[in-house]
Amino acid sequence: MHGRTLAAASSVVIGALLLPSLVLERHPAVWDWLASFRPGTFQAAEGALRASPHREREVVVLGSSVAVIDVIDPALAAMLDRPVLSAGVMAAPVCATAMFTPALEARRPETVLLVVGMRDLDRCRPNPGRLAFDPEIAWHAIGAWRLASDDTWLAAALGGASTLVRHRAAVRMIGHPAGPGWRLHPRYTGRIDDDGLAGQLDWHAPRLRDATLDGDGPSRRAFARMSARLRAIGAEAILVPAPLHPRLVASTGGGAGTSWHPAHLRRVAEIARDTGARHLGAAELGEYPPEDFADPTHLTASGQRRFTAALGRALR
Amino acid sequence: MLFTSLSFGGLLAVTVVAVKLAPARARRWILLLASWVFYAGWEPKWLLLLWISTAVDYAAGRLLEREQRAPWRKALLFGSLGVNLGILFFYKYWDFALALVGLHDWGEVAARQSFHVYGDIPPGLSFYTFQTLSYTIDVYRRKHPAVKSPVDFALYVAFFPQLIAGPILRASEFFPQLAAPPPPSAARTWAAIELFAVGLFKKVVVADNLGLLVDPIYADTSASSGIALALGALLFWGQVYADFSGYSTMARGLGKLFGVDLPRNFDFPLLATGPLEYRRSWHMTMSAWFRDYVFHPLGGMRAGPWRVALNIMIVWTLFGVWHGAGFTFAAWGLYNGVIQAATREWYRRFGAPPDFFGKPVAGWALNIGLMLPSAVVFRSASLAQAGVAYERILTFAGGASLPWAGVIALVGLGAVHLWAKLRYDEDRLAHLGWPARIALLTGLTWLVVLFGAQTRPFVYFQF
Repeated sequence: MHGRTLAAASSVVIGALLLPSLVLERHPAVWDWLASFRPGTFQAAEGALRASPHREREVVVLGSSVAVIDVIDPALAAMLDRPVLSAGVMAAPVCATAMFTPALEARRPETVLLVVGMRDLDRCRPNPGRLAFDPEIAWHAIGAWRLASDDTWLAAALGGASTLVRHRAAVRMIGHPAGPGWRLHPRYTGRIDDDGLAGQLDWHAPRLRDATLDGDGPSRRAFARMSARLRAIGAEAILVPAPLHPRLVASTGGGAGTSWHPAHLRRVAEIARDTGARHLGAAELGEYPPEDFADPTHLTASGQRRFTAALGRALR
Repeated sequence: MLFTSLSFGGLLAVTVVAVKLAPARARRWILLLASWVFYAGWEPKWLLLLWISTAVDYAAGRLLEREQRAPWRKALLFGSLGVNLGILFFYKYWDFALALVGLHDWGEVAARQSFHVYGDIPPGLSFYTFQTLSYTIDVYRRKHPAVKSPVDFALYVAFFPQLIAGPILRASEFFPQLAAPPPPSAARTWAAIELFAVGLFKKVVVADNLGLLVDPIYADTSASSGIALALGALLFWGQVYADFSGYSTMARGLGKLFGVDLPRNFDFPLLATGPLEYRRSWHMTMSAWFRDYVFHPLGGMRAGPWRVALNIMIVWTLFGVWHGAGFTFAAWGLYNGVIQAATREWYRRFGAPPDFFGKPVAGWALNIGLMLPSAVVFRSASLAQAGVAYERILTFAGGASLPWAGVIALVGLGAVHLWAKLRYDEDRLAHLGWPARIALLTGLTWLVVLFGAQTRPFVYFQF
């Protein structure tokens, strides 16, 4: 092989990714355009964070599907009498959500509510079932870089590179079965039947060990940095574990047949304490009966109302 | 480890740098190590099978060269065939065979026959097994000397650009290039980059997007209209072509990067103007394998017409079953065998059709029409599902409304395919100036990033 030719071609490909998207990302119209995507996508979340004007006493809700589905942002805004911006992203672990930190710093909200699913604080890798060349890998890399680096130019360039990738993923996310209007989707309007629940619990069983959050992980490190940077701008970070189906809570897991859930809650509280974030637990949020769940980890419409009301009370 | 994965990008970058910096004698070791790491990227345990196949055929080749006694030579050949085909049979056909005699749950086996199931079969098993078989048979026939270096032989079996889905390499194509690699040049490297980029485009942009159109149509055959099913079958064949030829093109690019020219596997088969041309242009290295190691030993074209027809149908049925243990694959092969045998018989009796205006277009349309039923059965999860699809297609069930996205995709695919056949050269980048190179590479990068669908495993990896 001819080394110089290979280096030249690699440079062209990297340049193709970086330079044009750097220009795009610095153009304000891009954020309006991105904000027009479906809720629950990275595009919409970052677009909304950057495009809409700053609002006093704003609450920004971040997290994965549990933030997108379980928290009804207009209802929360009405209860708190404060503006609420939902910037949750379906299937995004905290390390990916952390890529919004620069946008949050620019926006300066008063409160950042991070609703975490049972594995969101641990998981920071592409889903193996989705195989490779997944844009989430790029997101994770960009998110990690943005947090790790204060080099604005490089971070913006890498962020710009991801704009093209993000657009591509938006198309995929819009094709998600939960499609438009997440909360109105039939999947989230009724209680899950016993057969469906049993199947999903089987799916979750081997993954419960991850939810006990043993050891350090990129999502936890990302949250620590994000929390510190939010504190620096005077914003309060609040960590909220999402409600889980009672049968999932009762499952044994986490190794050696021990119950996983107390360990999970304890670790989430420890992470909040260690990172200087506020923590809302079962005492503030209450417990949720089986009929409130559309699946083991997501709420039905009634559950969403109950959870949002509990959040509102806790924040007031 | 898919060619489209970041982990493969990392492995490739390390391998390229290592090959570039290491002394020439270490190059084969580096490529061999990279190939084994690449294969272990799926499931390390499957490396053991690769090593068994390598060891058995290396030893068989060396012993065959020394041994002069015909019965012993034959025993060595059949010993090698037994081990290789035994492994292949166990992993691909054992459950199916047990189910046939009632010793296994049929439903479970039937579920695995579906073409898109990517389960417990070692990736690329059929490809490297056929490759090592060709080597042993060639040594037995004294067409190729036994390879002395175990490293060279192991690299022949595991050479990562073509390990998982071909093109199937013959020993006579590989070892001379390994012994005397072409000197590195900018033109050759540009050609390698171009092949890889074009292959990536075919896979990520064309094949994966076509898959998004086809999957809903065949997810529930009884709910799709006949026209959608017919269109879906054509789109599916386009998907398989773009997927498999995309892989082959990337493999050729990677091979060229490391000094090995791999053979072409496709020659615009979707534009073939008749069944015989279609056969010659689809999966060319596998067709050649079946021709040399099955068809000719059966008597080839030298026998009477009925025997020739039988030989053709045996070869095609084996070709079909090579894809996997399933009645759908067998039906696909048998159907194609009948078409090929009937076309040959037509030519034998009546000669080639006379020339007339529009003959190529008529031949192309006829070929597409003949291909359609085989695409339906290949895509279907079972013969029953294929039956439902045929019934709905033939009765125009579900109305005559056209799925326009599919029509546009099909027309676009055909137009690009035709343009490529008439105008495209594979070493275009090498002949362009810098501005055009930058524009082309930038364009391809953007197309892949913007329009690439979510990457799926390559269809042919499971075969």
